[in-house]
Amino acid sequence: MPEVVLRGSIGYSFPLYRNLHIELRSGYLYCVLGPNGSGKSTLLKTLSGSIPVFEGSLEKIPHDSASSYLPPDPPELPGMRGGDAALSFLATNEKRLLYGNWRSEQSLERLVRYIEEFSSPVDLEKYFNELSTGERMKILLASALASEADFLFLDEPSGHLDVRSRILLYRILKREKESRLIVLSMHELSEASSACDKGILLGAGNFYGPSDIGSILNEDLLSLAYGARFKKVLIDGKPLLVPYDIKE
Amino acid sequence: MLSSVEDYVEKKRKRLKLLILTALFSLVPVFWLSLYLGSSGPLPMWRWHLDDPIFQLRIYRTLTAFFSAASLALNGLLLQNLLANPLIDSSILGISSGSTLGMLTGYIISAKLGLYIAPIVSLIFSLATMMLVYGLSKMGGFRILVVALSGVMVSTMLTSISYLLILVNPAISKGGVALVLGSLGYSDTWSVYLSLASFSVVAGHQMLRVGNIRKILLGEDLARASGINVERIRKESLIVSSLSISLVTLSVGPIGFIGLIIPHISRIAVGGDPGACSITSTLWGPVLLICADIVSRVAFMPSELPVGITMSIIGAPFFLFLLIKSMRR
Repeated sequence: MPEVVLRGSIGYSFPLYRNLHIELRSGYLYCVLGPNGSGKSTLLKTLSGSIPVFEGSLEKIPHDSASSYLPPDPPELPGMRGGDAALSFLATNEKRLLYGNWRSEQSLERLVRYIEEFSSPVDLEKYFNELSTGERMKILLASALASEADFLFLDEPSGHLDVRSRILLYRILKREKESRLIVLSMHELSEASSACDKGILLGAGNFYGPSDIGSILNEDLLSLAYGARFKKVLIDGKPLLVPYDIKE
Repeated sequence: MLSSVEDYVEKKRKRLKLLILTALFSLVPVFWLSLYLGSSGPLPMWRWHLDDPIFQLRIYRTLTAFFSAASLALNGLLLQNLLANPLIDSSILGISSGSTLGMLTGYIISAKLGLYIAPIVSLIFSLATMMLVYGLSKMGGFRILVVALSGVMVSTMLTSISYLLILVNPAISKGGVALVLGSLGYSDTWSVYLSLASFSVVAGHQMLRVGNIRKILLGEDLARASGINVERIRKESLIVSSLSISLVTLSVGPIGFIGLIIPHISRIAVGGDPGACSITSTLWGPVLLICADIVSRVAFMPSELPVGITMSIIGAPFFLFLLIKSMRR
C-alpha cells in the first residue's frame, strides 16, 4: 500500500510552511485546495520529489516505487506526435533505444484502455502541439494513469477538461485510489466535495489537514483561506460550497 | 481517425524498419558514386584498389563524410531535445563556428609554441560558445526564436573573426577559407579518426542517456519526480555535445544544417521519440551529406565547391520553412 510521510518545511527559496507532519496513504483520494500562490504546486512537487524538502524528510513506502507529477499546463513538445508523448510516459528511465521500452506489456494494455475510456476522440497521429490544451492534458493523464507509478501527483488536472471528461477522470481516480496514492490540486470546491475523501487547505499562511473533506469544506475555514464568502448547499446529502461574495 | 495505441505502435515500428532498410539500401549506391565520381573525373573500376592515391583519398573522404554526418545529425537531435527547440543545430547555435575559431587560434598558437594544441583550444572554444549560447537562451526564457536568433548572431560573429584570422595569416592551414565553410576536400586518415571519435562520443551518450532525455522532454518536473537529476544530465549532455562538435569540426570544419534537416525529417517519419530518431538520423545523415558532397565535387569540375556551401544552399531555405511554420503557431 503506497504511503508517503513528509516531515519538516516546504518551499523553494524560503520555507512556505514549517513543522509539517503529513501522512498520506492510498485508499483515499486527496485534494489540495487554496488560493493562487498559496503553495499547492510547491506541496505537490515536494511530495513527488520534484523539488527537495526545504528542511526535513520525505519518506515513500515502498521507497523504490515511481512518482509522477503532472503540471497544470501540458508542455508543447514541438515535433512530437500525441502517440509518442503517451509512449514516452510509459518508457522507463533505462537506456532503451527503441519502442517496446515500456516496463511491461501490461502498462501498454492499460494505456490502450485509458485512452479509449477517457480520451477516445484524440488522434494519436496528430502533432502534440497541434492538439488543444484539453486534448494534450487527456493524453498525459491517460499515460500517467497507465504508467506504473504508484504515486500520482496531479496539479489541477481538471483545469482544461470539459465537464464530461472531469466526471470520467474522477471516476477513474476513485477506482485507482485503492492501489496507488493520488493527490490532486484544484480550484473547484464542488468537485473536491463530490470526488475527494480527504483535503488539505492552504491559505493566509495556514495549513489545514489532511483531514476529511467534510471538515475542510467549512465556511469559516474557507472564507479565512480564500478571503471570500461561501454558502453551503446540500445536494444528495453532500455539502456544496458556493462562493457568492468577497470578504471585505 | 486512428485512436488505438496498438495501431500507432505497430505503424511506427513498421515505419522505423522501412526507414532503416531504405537508408541502408541508399547508402550502397551513394557510397559507390562517392568513390566513382570526383573533381578529377570518374575513377574506372580497374583502379579501385587501396594503392591508388585517388581511390585512397575518396575512401577517406567518403568515410569521413559518413561519420561526420552521423555525428552532426545526432548532435543536432541531442541539442534540439535538450533545449526543446526544433529550430537549432550545432551550426545555428554557433558551436561549430566557435570550434572553428578555436581550431584556427589553436593552429596559430601551435605554430608559435611548436607544440600541437589545436584540438584542446578548439574544445575550449566549443565549450565556451556552448556556455555563452546556453546563458543567452536562459536569459531569453528558452523561447524558440530567441534561442535560434542569438545562436545565429554568435555564429556570424565567430565566423567573421575566423575569416579575419585567415586574412591576417593566409598560411594558417592547408584548407584556408574552405575550412571555415566546411569541406570534405582535405580528408585524410586523421579526418576519419576524428569524425569516428566524434560520432562515437555522441552516439555512446545517446545510448546511455536516451531514457533520461525522453523523460526530460516530457517536462522537467516530471523527470525530477521520476528520479532524474535533470541539471546533471543537461550539463553532461552539453559538455558531451561540445566535445563531439569540436572533434567533427577539426575533421571537416563547420558543416551546417545536417543536424537541422535530418532530425526534422526523422520526426516526421517515425514520430518524436529520441531513440527512434537517433537511429534514423545516424543512417540518413550520411546519405544526405555524401550526396551533397558528390554534387559539390562534380558541379564545377575540375574545381570543387566546399560541401558547407552546398549544405547552406539546401539548409537555409529549410530553416526558413521551419521558421515560418513555427511562427504560424
